[in-house]
Amino acid sequence: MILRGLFPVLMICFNSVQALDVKLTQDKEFVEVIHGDKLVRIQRIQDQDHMLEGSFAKTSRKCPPFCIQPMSAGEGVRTVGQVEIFSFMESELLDGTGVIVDSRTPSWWKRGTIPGSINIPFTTFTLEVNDPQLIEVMKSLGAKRRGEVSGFSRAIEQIGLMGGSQKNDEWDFTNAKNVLLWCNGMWCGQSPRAIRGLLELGYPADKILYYRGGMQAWQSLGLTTIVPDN
Amino acid sequence: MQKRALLSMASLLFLCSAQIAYSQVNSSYIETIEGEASGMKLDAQTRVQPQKEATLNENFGKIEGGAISDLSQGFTLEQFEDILKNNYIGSYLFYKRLNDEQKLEVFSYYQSNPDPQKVRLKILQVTKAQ
Repeated sequence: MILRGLFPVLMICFNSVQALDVKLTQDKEFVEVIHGDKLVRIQRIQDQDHMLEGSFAKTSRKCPPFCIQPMSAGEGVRTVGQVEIFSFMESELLDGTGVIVDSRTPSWWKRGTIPGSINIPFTTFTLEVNDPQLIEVMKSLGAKRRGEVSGFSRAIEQIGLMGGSQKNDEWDFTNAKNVLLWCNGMWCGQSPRAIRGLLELGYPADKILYYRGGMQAWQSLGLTTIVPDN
Repeated sequence: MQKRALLSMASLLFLCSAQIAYSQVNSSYIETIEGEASGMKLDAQTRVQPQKEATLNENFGKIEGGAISDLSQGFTLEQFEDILKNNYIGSYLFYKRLNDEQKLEVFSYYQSNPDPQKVRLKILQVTKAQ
């Protein structure tokens, strides 16, 4: 009787100490992120004999347009790898000061994405500056569309006063979030285009991160993916 | 005068054709990547496992905003939770999953380390030890 009562407790203990053989890093087994209304655990495939399947096992696609991208997506933009993404997920993403953007078109997004990402297709950043969709998206990144700004105020801002380094004629980036953008990987031009679009809008380069490995590298490492609900 | 009008018209035509060319490049680019997307399949083993995801409502219950807005030293447990709820919602969602003993562990850590980043890391550390 006592043993029967202890069984669930022992199971819980067993589960909590069961370590993963294939960890993310030496000291990290998994990371947890919030994706929509779900809490998702990101870890690697534990089967050490598993070979990559699906579209990302493919080595070659026609170039152009699927050409190898340079390491840098823009001056001042930091290129990051998976370990930096895990840290980003456990810090900026967790506290809402950062966003992970799947910058691919919706037809890619709906087939599976990196948990914790939101979908902002790269085409959004080429919209007219007054387009409500662009204004809404920029707002979600913490950038504010500016109203009429007097020449005098701009002159003061341009010499670096009144927070001028974070503003241009159109946008106020004072509260802009750190944005980590990715697409299909080193052969994909969608996130580099999104980054160019953001830079053209004046988004501060030091708040932009580029995950060049994208879904290709994510899949190669057997990391968790999620199919969005909508 | 006529020369100037002709020049303006030529530049306008040039701009229009450049714009059309740009749109064509863009639309053919989009067409190609959309074609590639149609057959896209991820490795099924990387898909999130049902037991590895749970809805936030199941895990965290109802979230209500509080009134205090800054994390510094000397708050009560209730005030501390209020601050997390208001300002560090991600951390709060993880914190809320902890049992009472673990919550107290985080709170006692906060008392000697009233730094949001350190508190966040502590919450994650306790969460993972669960």
